[in-house]
Formats: sequence, structure tokens, C-alpha cells
Amino acid sequence: MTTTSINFFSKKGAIFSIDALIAFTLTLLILLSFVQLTTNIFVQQKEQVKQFYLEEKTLMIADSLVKNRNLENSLLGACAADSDKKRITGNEIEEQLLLQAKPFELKEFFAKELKFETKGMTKIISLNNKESENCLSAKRFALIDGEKSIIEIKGCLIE
Amino acid sequence: MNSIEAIIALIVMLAGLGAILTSINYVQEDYSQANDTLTAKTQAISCATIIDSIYSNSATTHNEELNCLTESYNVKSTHNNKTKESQTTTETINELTIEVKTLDHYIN
Repeated sequence: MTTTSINFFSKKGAIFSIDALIAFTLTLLILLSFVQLTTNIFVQQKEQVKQFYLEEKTLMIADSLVKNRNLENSLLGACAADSDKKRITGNEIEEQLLLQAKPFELKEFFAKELKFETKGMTKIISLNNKESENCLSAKRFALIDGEKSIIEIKGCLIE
Repeated sequence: MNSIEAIIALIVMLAGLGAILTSINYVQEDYSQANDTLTAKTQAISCATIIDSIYSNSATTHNEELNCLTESYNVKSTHNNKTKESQTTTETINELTIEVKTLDHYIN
């Protein structure tokens, strides 16, 4: 009975079965790699969206700092005000306001650090103690109390 | 005998093909949902970028239709029933025609 069964499957048709099996396995592998590739594209896109969010928030805060005057939170604007012209002077920063910068946090983002150099000294204001591996720094050139300086803002994604 | 073997092989291959097609269908549905979510998130971030830019760069108006709803510091966007949100650095006052709470550049 067993011999008959072996004969039944190992006759001429066995070669065709192995052929078909190999072809079928190859097709499966191709489909699998296609699925894997598409998944990778989605994962990459998701990461790019997160990275764009981080870049946008950090750059916008840096821009706002050197173009606005916000007395509620000077991180979003520390420009000096020209009382004669009755207007705010962009890129001219008041150090006193800069030192009063408060923490700034959104649902997925936080400002970690504000760094600037004035009178030969580098000053670092730590705004948030949270740890994050996904951070980005944006630099802006400005006058701090009339002295040329570079202001650096470090923004991070909440993990 | 050969024909029986061929039938068995055909049944097995058809079953395998059916399993693959079902899997692909599931994967396609997941991709479609992921795509909608990603589109909604991208739209929300785009709207937040425009609002942030109006505030940060002291713009006055932006005459382009935005596919978003705003509520205070949140911006929501929906694409095929998938809603995602983003946040802005400033507060938006009006929902329908978005008004951004910008700072005055002229002082008294």
C-alpha cells in the first residue's frame, strides 16, 4: 500500500510538482518583497512628516524671536521697541527680554534650550529638562543690545 | 494517476493563490487607511505652517483656501474620515476665515 502511494506521487508528475513549487515560492517571495517595500515607503514618509514638524516649529520660533515682541513669553519675541518711531525693531534684541524666556511646549514639541553670545560670554537658558533624541537647532543672526550675536534655539520632539 | 496529481497540485496552488489575494486585499485596505491618515496629518501640518508663518513673519493676510479647522492652538484636518491634528505657536481666533492672533508692530 505504501509502495503504491510512493509510486503514485514519484512518477513522472513529481518533476512538474517541484517545478511548480519553485515557481510558486519565487512568486511568493516577489510579492513579499513588494509588500515590504511599500511598508518601508510608508514608514519613511511618516518619519519625514515628523521631521518636517520639528523643523517647522524650531524655525518659526527662531523667526518669531527676532521679529516680534511678546511680553507674555519673550521666547516668541524679544525685539526692542523704538519709542520715537513707535514701532518694534526687527533683529534688534533686548537681552533683558531674552533672559526672561519661558518654557514653550506643544503636544508633540518642546523648546529645550536657548543659547546666545553677548559681551564675549555664551549664555545658555535651559527651558525644559525633558530628554529627547530627536532635536534640531536653528540659528539666527541678530543684534543683542547693539552687539552682533548669534542666537540658537534648540527644539525637540516629545518621545 | 497523473491527472489526479495535477488536480491536487492545482487545488493546492489555487488555495495558495486565494490566501495571497486575501492577504493583499487586507494589506491594501491598511495602506489605504495609512495613506488617508498621512494625508490628513500632512494637511494639518501645512495649515499650521501657514498660520505660524503669518505670526512669525508678521504677515497680514493669506488668500488661499485651507482644508483645515482651527480651534485655539489646534488645527484639525480630515481626509476620508481620518482626522489628524497639529498645533500652532499662536492662537487662532476665527474658525471659518482664519484670523491669527498676531502681535502689534506699532507701539503707543
